[in-house]
Amino acid sequence: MMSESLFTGMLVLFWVAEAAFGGLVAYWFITQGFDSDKDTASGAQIELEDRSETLQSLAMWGGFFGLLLLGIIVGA
Amino acid sequence: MVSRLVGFGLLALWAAAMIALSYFVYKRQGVSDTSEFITAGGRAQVGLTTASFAVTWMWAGDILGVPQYVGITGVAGIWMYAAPAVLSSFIVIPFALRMRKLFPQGLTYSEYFIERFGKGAHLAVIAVILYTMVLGGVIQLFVGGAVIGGLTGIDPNIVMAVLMSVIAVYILLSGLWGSMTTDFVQFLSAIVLTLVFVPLLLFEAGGPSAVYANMVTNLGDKSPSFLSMANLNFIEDLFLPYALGLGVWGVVSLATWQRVFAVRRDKTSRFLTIGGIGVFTTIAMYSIIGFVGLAAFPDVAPGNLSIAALGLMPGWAAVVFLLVALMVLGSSVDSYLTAIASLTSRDIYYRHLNPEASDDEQLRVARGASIGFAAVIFAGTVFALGSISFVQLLLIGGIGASALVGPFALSLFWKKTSQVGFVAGVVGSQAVTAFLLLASYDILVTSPTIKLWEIMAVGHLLSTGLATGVSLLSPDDFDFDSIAQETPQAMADGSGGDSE
Repeated sequence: MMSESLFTGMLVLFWVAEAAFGGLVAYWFITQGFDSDKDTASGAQIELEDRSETLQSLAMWGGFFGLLLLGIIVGA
Repeated sequence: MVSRLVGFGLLALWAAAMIALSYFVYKRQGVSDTSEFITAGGRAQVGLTTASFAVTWMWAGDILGVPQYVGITGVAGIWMYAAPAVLSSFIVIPFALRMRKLFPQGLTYSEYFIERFGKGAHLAVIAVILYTMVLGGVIQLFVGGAVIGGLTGIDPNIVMAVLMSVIAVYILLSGLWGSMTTDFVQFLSAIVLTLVFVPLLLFEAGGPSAVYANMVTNLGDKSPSFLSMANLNFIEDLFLPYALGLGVWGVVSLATWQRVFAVRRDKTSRFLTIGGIGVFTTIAMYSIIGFVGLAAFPDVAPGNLSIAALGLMPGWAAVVFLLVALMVLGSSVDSYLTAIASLTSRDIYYRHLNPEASDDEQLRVARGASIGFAAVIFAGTVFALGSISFVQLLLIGGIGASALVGPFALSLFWKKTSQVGFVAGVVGSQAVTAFLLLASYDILVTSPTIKLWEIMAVGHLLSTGLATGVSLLSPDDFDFDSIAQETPQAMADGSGGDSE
């Protein structure tokens, strides 16, 4: 059974994670805008993401699922 | 509770803001051809696309559904509710990367099937996507009408008519650009308002310590299981059916695919990753409403916990909550409506009815379809409100996903997958799972009765097994390079040619 401090910590984590998510997406939009105007104007075909980009994404997924599993074990 | 006058005022404010924003984007981005209308020209930045993707997955029903899960099973309800949506974003990544390699700039993912197989398979996919997307719109409007109508006292039918009319108008103007831009504003509004109103609610109930103590007192000997993340007592009812259905919904959803084709090609997996994980954080925030409900209302049924808990907030906070509901509702319905408009224009009109259609004609059809299907979704929701439950709607949508995902994967990665195998898998699985679902609800037939997650599992096994088995008996020898070489422009104006 989850202790009070763990319960409180979980709620704080939820708030911080939500704020971080919103902040990251807002930062991306502010720095990048709607579309890649420069690439569009040049008419160049944007290449598909390279292997390292995909691996980074998969590493993020691995971290997320690992954290979730840890949360289930610790919060059991 | 918010007064009817304030309710109408909020609806009017939301309508004016969304239509004005859509008009601004229409002028700024020059939405004057089909590619811009359907895929935002394939050049949207990762921030805009991530916000749009995430908020499309934040359903209005979550505000009621997550606290209900918490009320049934405790803290484990958080991951049981969130995991299917998050899983969907993860599973779609290999599909998305493969499709963007084959189609540098596709318009609708369903068009892939006409290139890969022919018109038979394409029609089967259109049928699945069409009812899945219409159902998606109905599910959102269903909850929106009930929640907003319930909080303001306005007739739910009037709420739904206003919501659908406004969304149809802004999609008519600017298509996916309008959907994504309004989504971005709706995303930020929903996040900020959630960050404000959820802590407010928590402290109205005495803060985290008081909520924890009251939960333990109220739950009594159920406390250890309700406060355990590893409580698996309801996994067959609350998790597995949705994991097997909604967990692959993203692969089938044309709304997801429009965003996959809209984002820059070099950011495909990134927006799916951040967007998917981000959805988990929002769902986790909604769970706090459930904890407050368990602490303050020990005798209230799980399904009513959310409304009871939200009643603790002062009047102005109820207005904030209503705004969150409007934002997450609008973002999901507009995504499904844009998807249906695109499907009608490209897959039905251009590919089957008028292959000579010019780009202007296709755009006119897409805009007309956004109005026509807005009426269909509204009529479907009015019908559903009186005859079908929210859960049944979700499960019917899940059937479509379980039928398509396996054969779709085979078609992308196995050259021997044939049209007859693909169609046998999709149609056979749909028919069997629909029959099993009818039997489970004792509609027309009463047996066999199996668990809901077993129905979904049968759907996956049957669709994949049939597609594999029939393709082995009657194999294709497809050359993927034959479609990979088509240019974006060829795909847009159709000069790439049909396979039939």
